[in-house]
Amino acid sequence: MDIVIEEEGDKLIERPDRPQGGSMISLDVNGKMHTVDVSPDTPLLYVLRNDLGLHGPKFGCGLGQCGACTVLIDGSAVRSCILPVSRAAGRKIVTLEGLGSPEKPHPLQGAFIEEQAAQCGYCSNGMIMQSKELLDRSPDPREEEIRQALAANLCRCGTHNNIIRAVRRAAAEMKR
Amino acid sequence: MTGPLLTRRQFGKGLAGLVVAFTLAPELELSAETALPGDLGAAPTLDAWLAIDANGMVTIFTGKVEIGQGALTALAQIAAEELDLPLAQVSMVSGDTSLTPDEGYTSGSQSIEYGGTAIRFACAQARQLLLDKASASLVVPAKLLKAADGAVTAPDGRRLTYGSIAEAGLLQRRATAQVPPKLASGYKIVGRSVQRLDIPAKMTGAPSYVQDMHPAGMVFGRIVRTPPLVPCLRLSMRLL
Repeated sequence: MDIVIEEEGDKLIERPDRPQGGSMISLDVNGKMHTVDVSPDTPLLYVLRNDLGLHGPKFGCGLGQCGACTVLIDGSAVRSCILPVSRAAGRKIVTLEGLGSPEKPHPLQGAFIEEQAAQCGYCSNGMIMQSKELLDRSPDPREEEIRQALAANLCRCGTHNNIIRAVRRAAAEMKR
Repeated sequence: MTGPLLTRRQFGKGLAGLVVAFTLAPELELSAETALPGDLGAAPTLDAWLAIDANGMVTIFTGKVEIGQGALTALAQIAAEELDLPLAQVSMVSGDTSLTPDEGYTSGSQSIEYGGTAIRFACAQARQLLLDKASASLVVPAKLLKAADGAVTAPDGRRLTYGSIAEAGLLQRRATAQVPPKLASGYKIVGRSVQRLDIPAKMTGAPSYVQDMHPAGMVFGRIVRTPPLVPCLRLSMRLL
């Protein structure tokens, strides 16, 4: 349930975002159905992090520019910070948690760990999810393809070369 | 060119003097009693820095936090080195104000220099306590005992694990910094590249950042904006 704070004269008043009760939205996240009570224009990222407690996708810029919030929707890498949750209803959402766990990592996650492809790690979610989309459509990408696929995912620490090595390692791993 | 010119080396020397002057200033204010190395004076008891459980797992408490610089891994290496313990038997508790020493900010490349120094001395002292304790129960002079892989071994082969030696209260004593840490030339774990401890969680979405904290009752805010005003031109045929 969202609450809106509005100015009325010189006072701030609170009112429920939707006076006429809820718009319950059903989401298929990592193969599990969730029903959330939020206003339909809430960015998907907020619902994933705040309502569902999934911490894989990160809030970076909030403007779809950095890639830290990337999730897969029906297999496509999407920036969840600018996608209204209503647009994700009825589609298959996969987050970083849906790929694997520390005990049983997906080959991409395993390769990122093996190559130590992170400094602060804040961009890693986006790098991995974007790479997942890439490897799904191009299982044996050339380095140029990897660079192109990840060009719009920003990393400020400068781990790019490790990341590219990790994606290549994952591709080799997944071919076996 | 005019004016005094400094060579790179001279500049570096001058800068070192400055840095020393700055970093020494706060320490000079401390009393003689807290003249312990690094951050050890911030929490001058051993159990503020480490705990040893019955299975021989060692927990290190640090007020320094992981921000991608690999500090927690490096601090764990320092502890494992001084304790003669496999790195996998060290776990880290970091930045929990109810559990860890107050070591101030994590900044300025000081985590290893100050935090690492404290852990190094605390663990060196803890290792000596374990040896002394083992010496008493095995009735073998501590000098003849060997600590390795989380256990103390006597010349006759008898072996006590740290977990079995460390009784409650063993580490409830003042840190003295009187047990000399190992010489760098003998390091087996420090100075070697190991995989960072924090990376697996970060690659799989396990909580790792401040913004992943979700205390009970926490609420979230977001700015709800009005729809944009889009001007539109309406032409009236009658006027044309």
